[in-house]
Amino acid sequence: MIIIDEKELILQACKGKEAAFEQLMLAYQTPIYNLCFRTLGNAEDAADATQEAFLKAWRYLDSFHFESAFSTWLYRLASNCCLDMLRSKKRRPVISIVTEDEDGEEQSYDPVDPSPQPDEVLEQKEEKQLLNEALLSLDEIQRQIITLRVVNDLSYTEIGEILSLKEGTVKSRLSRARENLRKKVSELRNKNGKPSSKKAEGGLP
Amino acid sequence: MNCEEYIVSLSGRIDGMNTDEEEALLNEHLANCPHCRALLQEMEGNDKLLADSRLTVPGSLVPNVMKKIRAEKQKKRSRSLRYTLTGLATAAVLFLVIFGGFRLPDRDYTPEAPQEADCEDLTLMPLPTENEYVDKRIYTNPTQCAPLEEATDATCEPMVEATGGAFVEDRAEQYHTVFLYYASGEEIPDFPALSPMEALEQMPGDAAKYFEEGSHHPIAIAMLSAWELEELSYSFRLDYPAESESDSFIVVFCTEQ
Repeated sequence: MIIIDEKELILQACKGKEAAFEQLMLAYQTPIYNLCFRTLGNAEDAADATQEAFLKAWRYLDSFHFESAFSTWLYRLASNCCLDMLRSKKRRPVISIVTEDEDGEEQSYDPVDPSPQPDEVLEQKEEKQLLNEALLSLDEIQRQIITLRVVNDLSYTEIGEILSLKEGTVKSRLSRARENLRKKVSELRNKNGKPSSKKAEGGLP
Repeated sequence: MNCEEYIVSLSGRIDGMNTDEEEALLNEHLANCPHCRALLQEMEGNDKLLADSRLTVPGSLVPNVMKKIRAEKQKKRSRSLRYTLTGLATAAVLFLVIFGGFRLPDRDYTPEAPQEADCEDLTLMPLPTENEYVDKRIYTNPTQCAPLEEATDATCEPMVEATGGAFVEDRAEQYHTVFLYYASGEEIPDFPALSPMEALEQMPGDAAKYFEEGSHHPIAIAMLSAWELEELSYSFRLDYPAESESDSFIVVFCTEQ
C-alpha cells in the first residue's frame, strides 16, 4: 500500500514504522541536502548533516505536533545540524579545492581538464564553481536564506519560521545576501580574467 | 535616496515581495539609473545559476539512515531486555498452556549436552538463570527433558483449544515486549530487523550481560507455526495478518522489571 498523505506518513512513522519514515525522507532529501550543501560547501559534510537531521527527526518525531509544517520542522533541524557542524569545525578550518558537480559528486578542481568538452559545458561548470566559491564567502545565515529562497523556492514566511526571523528581517537579509553574492561573483570573475560583461561591477555610487 | 537604499527593493522585486509604494519608488529610480538596472540583472542571473545548480542527493543517503534507524531500534530493544524470574516461569507456563504438549528442559539439564533443534514443533528455550551457562541452541526434544514443576501433565495437554483465551489474555498483560521473526530468516514488518539466528545469538548474549550486572533476566524463545502465531496475535491483540507467508516464526517474550 502506498500512502501518499504526508500526515498519515508522519503518524505511521510516529508509531515506529520505518517504511513510512523512509517515504518522508525520500520526499524531502533533495531540498534538505541542498540546504546542507550550500551551507557547508561540500558533499561529504552535506551528506553527514542531512543524515544527522533525518536521524534526529526520527528520534524526536514524537515532539512534532503539527504546529508547523513538517517541512519547516525538518528544515529547522537540518539548519541547526549544519550550524552545529560549522561551529565544531571552526577550530580547524579546512580549505578545500574539491568542488561538486551537479550530481553531487566530488571532483578535484583540475584546471587542465583532459577530456575535451564543448566550450559551453566548460563555461557552465566554471560558472557553477565560481558561484559555489562566492556563496562560501557569505555568512552561514545568508547562505541558508538564499538557498531556501532561490534553490528550495520557499516563501519569506516559511524562511522566517525556519530561521526564527521576522519576515522583514528575511527580506533585508536576503537582499544583503544577494548583493554580497553579486559583489563576490564579479570580484572572482575579474580575478579569473573574465570581467563581467555587465556594468554593475564594484561598489555602488 | 542613493543606490544602496534600493538593494532591499531590488531583491524584493525578484521575489515579488515589494509593496506598491516600494515598487513605484524603485521604478522611478531604475528609469534613471543604469547601474541599478545592471545590478538587478546580475542578481537575477546569479539566482538562475544557483537554481540551476540544484544538487542530486547521493543514492546511499536514505539507505544509510535506514540502516542507522534499524540499528538504533535493535539496540533499544536489547536495552529493554530486563526480565524477571517470574517472567520466565510465566512464559513457560503460558507456552505450555497455549501450545501444550511440549516440555521444558529440566532445570538440571546439562548445557554441555543439548539436543539440537529439529524445529518441527514448538520449541521453548528458557535462557539461563544465574550462574548457568549460556547456550544458544534451541532444545526441541521434549523426551529428553523432565517437566518443570509448574508444567503438570494437565497443563501440557496439546492443542490450543485446551487453553482458553482468558488464561492467555490474563497473562498477556505481563509481557511488555514480543519479538517476532519468520523462521525462514525474513524479518517481520514492523519488528526489529533481526533474523532468527541473530535473535538467538544476540538476545541471550544481552541477557548474559545483564546477569553480570547482578540481576536475573529470564527470557523465553519459541518457534511457532503460522496457526500458532495467529492464535498468539489474537491473544496479544497484535495486528497480524492471519495469512502468513511463512509457516513458522520465532517469538521471544520478555517482561520488564
